[in-house]
Amino acid sequence: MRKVQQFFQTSVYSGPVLAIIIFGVALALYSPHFLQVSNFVNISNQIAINIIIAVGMTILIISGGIDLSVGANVALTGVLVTLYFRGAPGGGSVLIGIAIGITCGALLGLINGLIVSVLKAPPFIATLGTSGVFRGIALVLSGGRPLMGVNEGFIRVFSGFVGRVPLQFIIALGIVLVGFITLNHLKIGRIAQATGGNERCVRTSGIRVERYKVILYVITGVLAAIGGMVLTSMMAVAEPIAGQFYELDAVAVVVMGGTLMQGGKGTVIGTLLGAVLLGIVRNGLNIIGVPANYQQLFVGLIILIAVVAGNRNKDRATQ
Amino acid sequence: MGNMFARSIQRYRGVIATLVLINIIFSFASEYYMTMYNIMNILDHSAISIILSVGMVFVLATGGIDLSIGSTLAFTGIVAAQLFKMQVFWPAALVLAVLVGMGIGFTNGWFITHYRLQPFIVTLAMLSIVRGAALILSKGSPIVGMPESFLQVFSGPRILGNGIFIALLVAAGAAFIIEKTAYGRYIRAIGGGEEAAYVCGIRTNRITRSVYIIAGALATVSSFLFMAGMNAAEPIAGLTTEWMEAIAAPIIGGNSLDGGRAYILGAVIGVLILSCIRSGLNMMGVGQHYQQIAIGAVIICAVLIDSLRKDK
Repeated sequence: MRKVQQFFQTSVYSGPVLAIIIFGVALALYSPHFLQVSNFVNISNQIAINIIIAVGMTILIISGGIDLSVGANVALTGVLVTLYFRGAPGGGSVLIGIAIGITCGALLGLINGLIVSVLKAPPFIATLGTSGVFRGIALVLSGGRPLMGVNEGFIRVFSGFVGRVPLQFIIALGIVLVGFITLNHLKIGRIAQATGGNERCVRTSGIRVERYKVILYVITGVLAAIGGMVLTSMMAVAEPIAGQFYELDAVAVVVMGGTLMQGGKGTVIGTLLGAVLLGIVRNGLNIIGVPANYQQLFVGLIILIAVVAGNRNKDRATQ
Repeated sequence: MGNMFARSIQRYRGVIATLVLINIIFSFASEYYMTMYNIMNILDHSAISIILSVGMVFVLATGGIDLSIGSTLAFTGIVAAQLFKMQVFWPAALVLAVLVGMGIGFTNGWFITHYRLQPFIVTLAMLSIVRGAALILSKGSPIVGMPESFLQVFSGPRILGNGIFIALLVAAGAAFIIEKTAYGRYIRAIGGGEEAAYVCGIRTNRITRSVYIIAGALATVSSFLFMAGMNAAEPIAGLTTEWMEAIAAPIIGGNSLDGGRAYILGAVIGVLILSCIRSGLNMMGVGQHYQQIAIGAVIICAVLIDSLRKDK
């Protein structure tokens, strides 16, 4: 019991965990449908893409960057991969399709990274610009219409099931694990944290910050591309307007998970919890039967409350 | 006066040159571009973005950002339209709508200053909340039919409605406040360094709240132009392009996300650059999708030029 108490007093995860418990219990009491396995399958299906994208965003925000082009990246990757499947004889090969998707994501991330680190543009507005460019390319390549003809094997790879667990959720958890290790146990993770804390200090220590920044944007781009491939396989169609506001969703769960927007501090696990919280809230609003118009309002309120609650735990000395 | 004019030319020569260059290129590319009709069309389409951008300049000057103005535009429009329907005298309805817009801005500012939260995340949450409120209040569908005298004031009978004059009036007023009053210096001081500004005796929290209130009020004014142009209030107005342009245009015009600068004229020219590119590409028969790529590229170029300028 003391350990539990200690957890809630000291852990950075206490805010989202507490919120998840409160919402979970309330929903379980309200509706018998909430605690069913099929509903959990449903939730995990819905939050997988958000988790995948938000892991990259977490490390990026910790390093002091941000990428608002991930939503457009999702769309462009989906369109490119589907164009390959449509063009290749016999529906193409799944592996080449995945390779194209990942290359596309890496390339888009590289473009962002070079603009931000080498050309020293502020990431917020620069990636807002690249977002317009990527989305435009997706619209041009697809002719503005949804593209059918996604390879069947590709669909099975990203949106199959292992038992009753959706494959895409397993992929998402795998990415959380890799993100956790990257952030806490690899050199690039420590450099990301240090850069977000005090970039000049890192630079004077002789570390080539630019190079690491580019790598972080490439990682974010690749993860967004994986998100795009999951979405394409889920829908069995590539939409050039897919992924709108995914970047805002990703930033929201990152901050709900306790990561500081100004960089330097944050956790991948917190982001996972933030995504779970947002997923449960959205699911709960559906179960209760809240009309779609109200859902947007409640989701915004939850984000605000989560951020305020998370902030209370921190010391107010920074005032 | 002459000195101030010279300073403006100096400060804005890059954007002015860009604007002139774009216009020269497009007037060669299409014979219909440099016609009176099209120029009036461009100005008419710029009015809403100009007003939103002016509000954003205040917020950017303090080092903040407001993502919620697009939603505020939609929500206050719906509020005004509902009041019109209840037969409220229309100027009174507009005043109430502006108060609602200021209330949204105050809420943003209060959360940002009281809890020391990042403007990005607070206004992101507000974007969602206010959009939801707009959808609820309108039941998800546009409200059609505005009072006749309202349309006359905000839209006018010609191609070039009154919108652009209202927008320029707003911009001129804002420029005066920023250049000539202590308040204008305070907001830039906060953007330059909040702690230093606080130590100097500036009530930083109060000033910070006020810029979000201004942004909310101006988003409401722009919603009047939107309603007059469409003869309807739309719950999905200002969903993407409006607020993205409202952030991009001030940056193109030399304002900075780091705060400390407040260039109103730059923001206005930034809006005109984006509108001219849209119109010119339309004239050349370039599709919507390519236009999006072009606009994105312009935004990237603008920040690159800005960062090169900083290096010197």
